[in-house]
Amino acid sequence: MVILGSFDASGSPVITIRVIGPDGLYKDYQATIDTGFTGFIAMNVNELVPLHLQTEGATEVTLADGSAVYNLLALGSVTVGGKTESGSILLDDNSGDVLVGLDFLRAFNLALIITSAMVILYDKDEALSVIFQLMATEPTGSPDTTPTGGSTGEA
Amino acid sequence: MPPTHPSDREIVLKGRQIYDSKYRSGFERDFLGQFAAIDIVTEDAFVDEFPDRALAKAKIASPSGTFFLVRIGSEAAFKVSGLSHGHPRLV
Repeated sequence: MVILGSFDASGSPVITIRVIGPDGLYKDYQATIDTGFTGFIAMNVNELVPLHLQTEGATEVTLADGSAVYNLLALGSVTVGGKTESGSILLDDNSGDVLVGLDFLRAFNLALIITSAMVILYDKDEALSVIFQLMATEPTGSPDTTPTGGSTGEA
Repeated sequence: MPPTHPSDREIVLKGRQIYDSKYRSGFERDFLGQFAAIDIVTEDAFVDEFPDRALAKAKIASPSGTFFLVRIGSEAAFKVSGLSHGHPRLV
């Protein structure tokens, strides 16, 4: 499995993921790949509603500056590259971004390559020759930061 | 009158109180680095290597329970870079 990501307007690496709630309702998001995030997914608490997510409890999250915030927790599934995995979803009051973190990479058995113009997620068991072949087509210059859209629906 | 749900802060404070008084010393000896989901009503705790599995175990035991999740040996269950979490980007 090879997943090609892109860069958002701020230059952060992003991929498109589908988050699926317990009733099968889903929504597609552009998620930022945050290797400083140790969890699976984090998103705004308002996304509880369209996905019919159920809060299971709460936890404490440490930010990079050492401060702490409290977040609600839900369980949900994510589909990317044709594969679906379940995990815990952090629900934050303030953030408008969707983040995927290190638990996400572990759950999908993904490795990450970021160059100046490409974002590549690939199955750790994938032959590296495929990756190198892909990277040979890497465009030169600045990354493409064209915004991508999202959608909602029912799985 | 409909039941009120505890806030994230209330869940964390209650859960941490239970964790500190009943589980911290034993868990830090036996399960360091794993995750514990603590039912803030029954005070039962469920441990697993992965956070979602700890929560899933807790939910099986108490389907309508409310749980505090902690990483054993850490103050918080997760770390976030902080640039985009809790600090909305300016547009």
